[in-house]
Amino acid sequence: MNLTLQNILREGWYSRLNSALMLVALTGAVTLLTAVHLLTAAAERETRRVVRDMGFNLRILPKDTDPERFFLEGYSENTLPADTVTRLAAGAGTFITFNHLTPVLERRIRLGGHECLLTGLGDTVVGPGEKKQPMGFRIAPGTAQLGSILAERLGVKVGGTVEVAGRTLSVERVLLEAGTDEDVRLYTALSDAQIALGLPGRISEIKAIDCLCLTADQDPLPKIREALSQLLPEARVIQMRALADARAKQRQASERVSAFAVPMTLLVAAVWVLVLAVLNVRQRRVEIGLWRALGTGSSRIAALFLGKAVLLGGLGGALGWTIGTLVALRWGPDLFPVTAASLKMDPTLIGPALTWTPLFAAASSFLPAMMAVSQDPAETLRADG
Amino acid sequence: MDDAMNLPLIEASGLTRNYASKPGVVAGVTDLSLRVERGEFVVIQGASGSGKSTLLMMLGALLRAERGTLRIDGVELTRLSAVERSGYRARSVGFVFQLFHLVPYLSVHRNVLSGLPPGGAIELSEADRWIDALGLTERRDANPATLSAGERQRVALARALVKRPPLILADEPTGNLDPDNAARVLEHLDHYRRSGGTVVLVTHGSEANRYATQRLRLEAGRWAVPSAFPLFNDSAS
Repeated sequence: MNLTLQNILREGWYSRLNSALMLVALTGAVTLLTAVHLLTAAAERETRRVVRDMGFNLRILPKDTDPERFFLEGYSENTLPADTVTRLAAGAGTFITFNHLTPVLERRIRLGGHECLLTGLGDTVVGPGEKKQPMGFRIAPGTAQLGSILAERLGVKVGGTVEVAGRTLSVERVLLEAGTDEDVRLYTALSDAQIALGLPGRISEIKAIDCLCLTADQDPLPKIREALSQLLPEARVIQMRALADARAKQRQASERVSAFAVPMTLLVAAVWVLVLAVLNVRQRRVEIGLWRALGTGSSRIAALFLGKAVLLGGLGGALGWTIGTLVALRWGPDLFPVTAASLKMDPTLIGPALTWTPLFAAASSFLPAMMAVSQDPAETLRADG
Repeated sequence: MDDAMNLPLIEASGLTRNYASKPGVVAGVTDLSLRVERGEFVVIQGASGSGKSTLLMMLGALLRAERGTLRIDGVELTRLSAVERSGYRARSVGFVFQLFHLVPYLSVHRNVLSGLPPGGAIELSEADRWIDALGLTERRDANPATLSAGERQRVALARALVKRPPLILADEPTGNLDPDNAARVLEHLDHYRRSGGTVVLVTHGSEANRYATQRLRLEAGRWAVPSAFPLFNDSAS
């Protein structure tokens, strides 16, 4: 071990309070950043899940859909080929604008003497690399899920059956009262709905989520429409603006929190380390003068201070990553219960923590180190006269 | 080389350096000339603020003269860059200070080692030799905080002597010592001088006079008698 390193270690131990406070600052910063990183990712997952559970905010309809009829009936009376969804998914840049593409066939039918909305749901198509998670719920062929009012009117419970156009479907679930038209819906698999309605290979729309996440004041609709006109000229899109806006705002709020927390953490840690490094230089004025008198060069004197910062930075990076991960794993699941299982240690953060923390500490200590180098030794060493 | 050895170790002419010691007070030295032969023990006396330490810092290349020339061991210090002055100090000068200025987090042994110039020109075992020679053997691994004032000054002396520099600059080295320890330190400095070294010592007091080969007095930054020559030439033998 060379003498400079030995001296750094010995001085670090001798100035234990200063070293400990500097280590606390660096560890605290990395702890916060690691925890913020993990929790922000968890918050994004949670937000994504929550806004996804808000439902689709885009409805892609056959171009010739009559808007008046659509809004009066609640669905398009026109249809598209069912493979439209795969063609859309295969389009270049589709998933920049759209995601969770779900083919749907909807019609009003009579069931057991009651009018209801039959909704056939196909498999959801998500962007490359994403886990395929159905929006709302997935329905197996031969089964049905009933809205609460419809189930009550039909007197059907889970485990019972319903007859739809001569086909018997078992009731897998009765949905909780939603306070929307969902309460009078009968959900089936897309294939069952196509058979029941005599529309094989057809869908009435593709439900989707917009990925642009622009808020209403940024008016995303023109961009969405432009994208769709290139990807699927035979379709048109309707945006459920309030829902889309709520989704975008929630996501942007989450992004703003991390955009504030990260630089603030870095700033506080930098100022903390800077102040401690300045105090360290002031406390060591005589020592610095002495090294000067002994003929020690500026680079070695600067190395005493920067080296200390780098060593503490490395230690702070390792400790901070460990503590930050433990904090996120301990309290994250309480904060984000819906996606708690996805909260995991991120080993890819170790490298940046061990690289950037020493560099950050050295950068924060740079000015004090320069103060040390430029200090006039004659002032500190003279007896008097 | 022989010619260089025949030259005076220190030759200064017209040395001037002023600085604001306190707001509104200008201190320093003005137009000083000095000649010190190798093997001398020069004692410079003067009151506080007379410029003793300023002169010493210039001789140690810790302060740059504003005017004048200063040649030590054949090197013109006023022309050296900062890096060259560091090299000069590392090779050619040993400092001893009134307040010892030991590195507080290093043991006695490591403090002495810190006096060695980089490059390994001198064996590390020299540190132990000086520790033994100055009666610090049992305190080799002690921390400076546990040492007496006399021991601390002997550590500082060992640190200055370990590289066997041609010149030792001592700034009030006995100012914080009792008479016994002061005498001991001066004896060591005199022993170093008699073995071929040169000592320039500044002090308020008179306890070093008996060792002096040349005594000078500074008053308000000038020699008490305006001359480049010794004021008192009652050299000790």
